Amino acid sequence: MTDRDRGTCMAESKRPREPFAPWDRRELPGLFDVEETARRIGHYKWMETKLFEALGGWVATVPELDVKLRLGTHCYHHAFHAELFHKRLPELREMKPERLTVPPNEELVAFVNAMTEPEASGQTIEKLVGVYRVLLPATIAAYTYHRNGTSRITDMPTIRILEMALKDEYEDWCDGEMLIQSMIETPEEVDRAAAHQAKLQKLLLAAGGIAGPGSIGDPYVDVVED
Amino acid sequence: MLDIEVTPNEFTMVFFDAAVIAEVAADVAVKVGLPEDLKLSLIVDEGSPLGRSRVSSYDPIEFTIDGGAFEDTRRPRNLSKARTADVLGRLMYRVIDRSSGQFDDAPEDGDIDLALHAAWDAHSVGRLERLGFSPQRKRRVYQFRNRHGFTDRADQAFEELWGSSELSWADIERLSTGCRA
Amino acid sequence: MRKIFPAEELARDSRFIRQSNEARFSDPRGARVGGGSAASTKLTPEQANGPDRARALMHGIFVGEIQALEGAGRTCFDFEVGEDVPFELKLDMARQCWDEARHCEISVALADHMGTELGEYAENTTLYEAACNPDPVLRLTGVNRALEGLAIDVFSTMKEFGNLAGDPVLEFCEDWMLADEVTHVKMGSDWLRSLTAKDPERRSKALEFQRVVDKLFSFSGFRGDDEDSPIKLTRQFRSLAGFTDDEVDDIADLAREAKAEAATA
Repeated sequence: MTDRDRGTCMAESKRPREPFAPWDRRELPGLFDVEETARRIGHYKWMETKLFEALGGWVATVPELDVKLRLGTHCYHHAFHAELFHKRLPELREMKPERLTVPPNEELVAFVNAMTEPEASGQTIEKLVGVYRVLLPATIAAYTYHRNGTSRITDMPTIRILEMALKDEYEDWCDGEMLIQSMIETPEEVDRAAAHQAKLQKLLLAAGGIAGPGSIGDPYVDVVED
Repeated sequence: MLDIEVTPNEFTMVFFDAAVIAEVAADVAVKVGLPEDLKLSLIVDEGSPLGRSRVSSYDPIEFTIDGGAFEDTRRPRNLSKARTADVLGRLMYRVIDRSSGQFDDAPEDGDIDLALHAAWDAHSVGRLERLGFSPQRKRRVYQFRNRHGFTDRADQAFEELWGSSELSWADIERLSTGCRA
Repeated sequence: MRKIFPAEELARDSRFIRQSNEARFSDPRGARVGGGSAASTKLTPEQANGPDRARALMHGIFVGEIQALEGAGRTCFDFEVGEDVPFELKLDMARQCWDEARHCEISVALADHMGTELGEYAENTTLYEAACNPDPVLRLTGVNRALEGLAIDVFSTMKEFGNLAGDPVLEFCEDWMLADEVTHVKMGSDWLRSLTAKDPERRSKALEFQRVVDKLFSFSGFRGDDEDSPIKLTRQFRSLAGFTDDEVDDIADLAREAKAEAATA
């Protein structure tokens, strides 16, 4: 009598496997819960929006043809990031994305105002330095921290967005840095670039980064004194 | 001494100076090697912004030119000496070629097709470049390709036309018809 | 940086020379300059000056693309999300920035292919001026529907020119740019409808602004719907981009009107 005859027909048994393959070392916990993730994403969206607006606005103000075209292309990159973050927010229980699309503090608003202040056609160096030597490095830092720290199991959608954004940020950073290097031809221009960078860097420091204090975590150790 | 007459001698619709046009014409004529006792008439249609130009008579020598052909395309209604020299030089080579004995079998200008015009122009303008004029080589390549095809064969024919110094009408005809798409 | 950046201050390098509207419209050669009777023959390679006309038109396209890029960029910056425009409208404008930057790159490559130098022809900033309108709806209608609509017509003509001339580069490039322009016009059509769905007066004003721009950029009938129009209205692609037959008929009538006015001027 076969299993079929006995009415105990089953699919042929296979050897069981672990749900995580041996090379899949992802762990469950991450640094950020849903609410904290949404808060940061809202700040990222605000920052990317301000950045793409500025790049778009500057196109008409720069006489250098190669810079003009690059700004147009980069404008879209950051708008694309803003859109990805915008779509992520409702998935993090924020049904009104505009509620979280805010700066972390007034200090970051001051930074953005200072970054977008140069307008004259002779200030291409300042415009580029603000973005490519101050803002983009800070953005890369914040996104890298977030990507590395969030849960690779529960928050994979955010990681995917951050990785796409980071690819653009690195390439645009390189593009922008090369444009700056090609535009700086005199010691005076070196000074101009450095002065503007220092001014903006201090404002960004006061803001604590693009997501406010804790944008890239805190590496310092509290030592208990005897 | 070259006798160059520009009509009109006063321009009212564009900011051309007949004396400057005559001066450019004289300079080009000397460089391309027109006889010094030549009389040349230039009829400029100042009301036309187009770029047409032709030898309207070989004897006496008369060129008819749309004002746009001499115009500075960056500053409309103003004269461009470079463009003026380019146009006049090209037309002057027509005169030189037809009187060389090597173009006796060439049809009248009105009976030559556009491809042959482009080929003859390539030969003329190449010679102008070697005299120090700036005749926009790539523009001539594009015109030639439009008439003969966007092919390597056409490009090779252009190089030969451009780089040669004294081609006959038969040579020009051979190179043009031999590379048409 | 200011909101609304004036056309007089558009930044250019030394190769580019600007021609004012005043200078352009006061040219006593009149209709023959704008594309009237003498220049109104269809743009084909068979014409004696066909290649040179195509070169000049291509340069006009190039500077137009720069201004379209600048206009789209300004629209990203000049308006506040929520108060003035939806977030999605700005995303569309940023996308247009990218597209127009690519068109500039394509135009530069085509200029080299055709033997044209950058800045060889004077630049007129009328396109960017249409992009300076303080009402974003009028801006999109004037630029995206009227001017990008013209771009559809021009690129179709250039594509056909490339096809007739056997120029694979020109035909290829124009076709790619044409695809993008249909997207841009559609953006204009879609935003006009959605932003004025409950505001018929604003919509009417926007369409009137579009008519003004359409008529101005018919260049005295140079762009029209007649068989001998040098630049032909491209009904098929305009339909894809959200134009109704009536709207295209209206543009054709405006062109005939402009042509008639130029003939009697």
